[in-house]
Amino acid sequence: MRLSALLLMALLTAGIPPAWGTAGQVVPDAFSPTLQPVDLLPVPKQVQWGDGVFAVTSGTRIVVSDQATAEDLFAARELNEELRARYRTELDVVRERQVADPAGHIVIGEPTSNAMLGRLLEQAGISVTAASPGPEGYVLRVTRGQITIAGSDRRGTFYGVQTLRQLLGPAPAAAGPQPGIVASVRVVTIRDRPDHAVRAVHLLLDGSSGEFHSALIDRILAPYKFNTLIVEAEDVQWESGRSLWSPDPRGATKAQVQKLLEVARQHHIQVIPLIPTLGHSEWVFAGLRDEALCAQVAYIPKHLREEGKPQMTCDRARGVYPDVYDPERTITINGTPTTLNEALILPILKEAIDLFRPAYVHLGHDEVRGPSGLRYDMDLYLRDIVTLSRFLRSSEVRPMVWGDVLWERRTEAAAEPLFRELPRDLVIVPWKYEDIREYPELSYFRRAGFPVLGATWYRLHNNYWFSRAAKAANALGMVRTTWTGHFQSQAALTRAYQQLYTYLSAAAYFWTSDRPEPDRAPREAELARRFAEAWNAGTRPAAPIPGTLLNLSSAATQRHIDDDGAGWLGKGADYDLRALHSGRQRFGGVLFEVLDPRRHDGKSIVMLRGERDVAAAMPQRVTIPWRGRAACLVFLHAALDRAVNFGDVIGRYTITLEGERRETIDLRYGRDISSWLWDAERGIASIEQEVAWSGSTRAGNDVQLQMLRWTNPSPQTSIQSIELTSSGGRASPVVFAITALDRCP
Amino acid sequence: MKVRPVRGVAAIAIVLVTAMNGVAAPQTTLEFWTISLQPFFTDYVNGLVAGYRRANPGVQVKWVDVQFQAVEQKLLAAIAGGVPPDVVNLNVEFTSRIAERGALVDMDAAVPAADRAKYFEGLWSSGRFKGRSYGIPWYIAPPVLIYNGDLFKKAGLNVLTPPATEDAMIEAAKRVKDRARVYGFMPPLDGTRLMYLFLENGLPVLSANGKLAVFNSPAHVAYLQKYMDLFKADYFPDDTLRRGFTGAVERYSAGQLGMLLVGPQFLLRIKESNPEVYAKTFVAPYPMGKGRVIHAPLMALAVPRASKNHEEAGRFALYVTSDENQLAFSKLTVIFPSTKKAAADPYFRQKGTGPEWQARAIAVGELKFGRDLTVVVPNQTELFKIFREAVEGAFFGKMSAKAALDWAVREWNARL
Repeated sequence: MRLSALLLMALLTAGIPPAWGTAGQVVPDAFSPTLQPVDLLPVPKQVQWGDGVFAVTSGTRIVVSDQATAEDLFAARELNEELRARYRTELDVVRERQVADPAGHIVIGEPTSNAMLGRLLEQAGISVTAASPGPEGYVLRVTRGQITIAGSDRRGTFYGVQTLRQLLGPAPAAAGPQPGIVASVRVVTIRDRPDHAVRAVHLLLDGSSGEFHSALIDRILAPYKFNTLIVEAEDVQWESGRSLWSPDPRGATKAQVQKLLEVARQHHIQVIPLIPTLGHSEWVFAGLRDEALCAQVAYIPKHLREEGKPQMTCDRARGVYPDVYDPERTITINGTPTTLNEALILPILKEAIDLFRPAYVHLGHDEVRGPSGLRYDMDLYLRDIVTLSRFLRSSEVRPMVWGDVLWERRTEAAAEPLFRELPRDLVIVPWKYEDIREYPELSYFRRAGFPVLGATWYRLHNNYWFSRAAKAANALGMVRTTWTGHFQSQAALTRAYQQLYTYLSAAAYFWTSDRPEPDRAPREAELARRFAEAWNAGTRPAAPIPGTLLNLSSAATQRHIDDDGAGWLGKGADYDLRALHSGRQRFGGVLFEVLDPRRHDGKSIVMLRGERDVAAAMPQRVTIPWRGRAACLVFLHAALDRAVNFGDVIGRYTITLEGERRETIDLRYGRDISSWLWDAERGIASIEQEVAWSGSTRAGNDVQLQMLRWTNPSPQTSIQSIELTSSGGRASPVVFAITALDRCP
Repeated sequence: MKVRPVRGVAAIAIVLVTAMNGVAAPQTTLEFWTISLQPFFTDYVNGLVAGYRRANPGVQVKWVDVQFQAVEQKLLAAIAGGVPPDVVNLNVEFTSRIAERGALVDMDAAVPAADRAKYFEGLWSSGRFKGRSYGIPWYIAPPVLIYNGDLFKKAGLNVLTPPATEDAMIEAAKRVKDRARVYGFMPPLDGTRLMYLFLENGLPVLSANGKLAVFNSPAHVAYLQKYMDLFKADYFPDDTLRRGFTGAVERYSAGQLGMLLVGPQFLLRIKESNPEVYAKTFVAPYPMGKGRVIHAPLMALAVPRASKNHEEAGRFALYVTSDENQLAFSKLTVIFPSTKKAAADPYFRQKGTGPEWQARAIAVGELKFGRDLTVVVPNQTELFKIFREAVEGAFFGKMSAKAALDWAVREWNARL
């Protein structure tokens, strides 16, 4: 038994209440798993909760139709993966003929092909047909005796399973020890279907796509019921046009794309390639073998070219290129006159069709502007859409374009004869990323005869209002765009995490456009937590872990409450952290002791030196003389301001172990620590950042503290001291509490 | 060439020269970045480069022209990648933001006092960050009112009596929309430009000591509300906040906008984009607000600290911004030099015909009211984003004007 546990036992045996020692307080539950309430996302259309639970035991089977295909079995596998990750268990998957009695089992499929399922639904008086709940719809019924998932179609069954994954909980503790129970599901009946037929995420393919995007599909996108990917594919290692152009070697290989396509197919996700043409055609210029050709194909208004002012910067080394090309300008390749469309664009489109076998190809065509803000010829713009659309039609593929140019220049466009020649199966995708209530372009394009998809970004209200407007306009669906920069897909996890965890709120509104109301929607910290939990798919210990709540009173330099303009930020009670209660607080399962400044000589936190006025007189380093063993140290902390650069090291914690060995933790801004104020620019920038507590100032600012977990590489060696050091910038670190754990959770 | 040490300046500081006739270090290549000067000023910049090479044998100058929207991102990428330009054209907002990262050379330390004295003091100190200047002023362009005479006539407005005040301009814009059936104007509300409008109307953004945001007074709220009401009544298009002056110039050039509030240098783009619209174009003074000050955006030349040629880069920046070169540039389009001698040239008092000469005469008169009103604050990226989101939130129906400005002030005050 560990020393801390012995000490606690001794205290309790003696009938003495645990006292706050000079070094710290030993507690038996320094970490204790916290149960998150079930909060289904997307919100299903109809939910009727009942009493009791269905107990998942080792004897529970997943029952599929006798005719179940690999596709059907995949849904069962997904359920098993969830059980394996969270509860270290896996259920047998059997066919209905192998089960005499469905009691105690999970029966999944479509009633048309699963007779047992049909009987169960009939007994319950529930009707599930192709028309009801409808395409991609399902009924999930959980009773104490069994679970049934009935899809209107295969996708519906798949989404029913995804909902069940969210409902899985631990075995109920109140029921007492029940051997064999591995998990439980609360009794409920859910009838559900999506509001939008297309629920897409837009991604940029790169060299990490095979692994990273496949994991994204498996852990996040499919479980949250997205069914389409629109992938920017210009950097795929295309073989076309190699006589004049070559792709960026950082792009995805065809093998990686194939893997992505296979994973997407398994998860009922269609993949639409996006080849940005005209607008954002940097990839074209960057890949041209001859820089002289770059200047030749750059779009210059005709009269300027005639005036002899064609010079445009084409600088591969600096990544500086013209804005847009001229698809029809004659160029000479290997002595043969041609155009960029003929020599490069059309062959790549053909190759993309062969690789993706898509129903649609997105042609880009957004933000098409001439050099220095000159207008791009509308006639040329429309003609290019018509030309490329005809080419796609020859392969029975439908075209798609962004909608900004056709909306912003609608009067000009509609006046052009070519506007009438635009194919009416052209899907127009207007994008708006601000929190806007009205989206008049949807009805404008619908009236003009085009199908539309609304495109959003990460903002909550943008997704809520746009999705509702799209539903009202009878749009094809919605697209959540991702703008993390080229070749940055995987890096987004640790640099642009906000763009990823907000997929969850987009998923919610794309499925059920009017719920949850934005003021009831999960906050970003909660979305970030849910994303990280799904991404890491790890298990958490079920039992409490003992540890020590370190006593910071002798090291405290400032207080987090500011009644007199001398505490916290020095800006008075409206801008302090009084919302953080003093005393014991449990965040993310870890127990912390936040000092009460009234009982500790007006001090409660360790504020270190920084550029902000209030921190200028603080010490640059503070040593906490705690001695003891710990497998993990958990710091509750925040920075006093924002660092200039993401990733700046704003300070360090140095742990001295017995024998003068030192372990150093660099505090990288945005990853290990962040400002106490919600970052209005980046949100939670890294999946590594764990928001422990969030609240508001009296003035109304959203504020937060983060938690940094450090794993001791030598848990058997005693810690002698912990030194906290600031780098002295605006973003100086402030420590609120430290907890030492006997084991790492 | 005269090189003298600058006392008390750290090793990164550069030493510049007062004369341009020195002998340059052999085999130096300077990289010079401009913003959106191609294709209109290709010949001018090539001429500048050639002139410098002639005077400085052994120095090569590589010119890279970057689009306005891309320059900040490209610059940061180039600095991070270890391939920074040696001289880069930036506006005040970009300059202060990049200076905050410690990525620019301190020009107060680097440029000798005698050279600094050649520039207007107000321009030299525009955009000082933490009391230091990080750019050599290049040119300014006070905005003017550009309007479409045909649309004015269709709206029953007198072409010869353009609106002289902001309220009169709003009334004219409403008439154009109501009668000519095209938008009358796209007010400068995108990004953080509402800040300039506040300041032009005597409504402060910060307290005197710079420690508090104060842009949520009833007067600020009423001012924002005025434009929100216009937006709600569809008196300006929904891409006004998204595309700003770029969208406005594009719409005006298509004959789809009655009035344009931009620097007079944009006349050249209108002329090239649509000569027919240009032929119908008139120019009038910028309808001044109650603050009797006009935001005149300043362009400056900065030297990244990561440049390996600080000395030569500084010399080149002084050359580009010299009296002679600025005067020559000012003759190609309607901009104004940052040096006192060039600005005093009789050319700026000459009269000519056509919108550009009209604009030049008007802008000369406006210079005394012109200042770059960019609000320089620490943590500018985040603060500006908060301001932008507040303005968008108000216009797009997320918050009331008061709630939006209260929110932004609260967020600024926690960060200032």
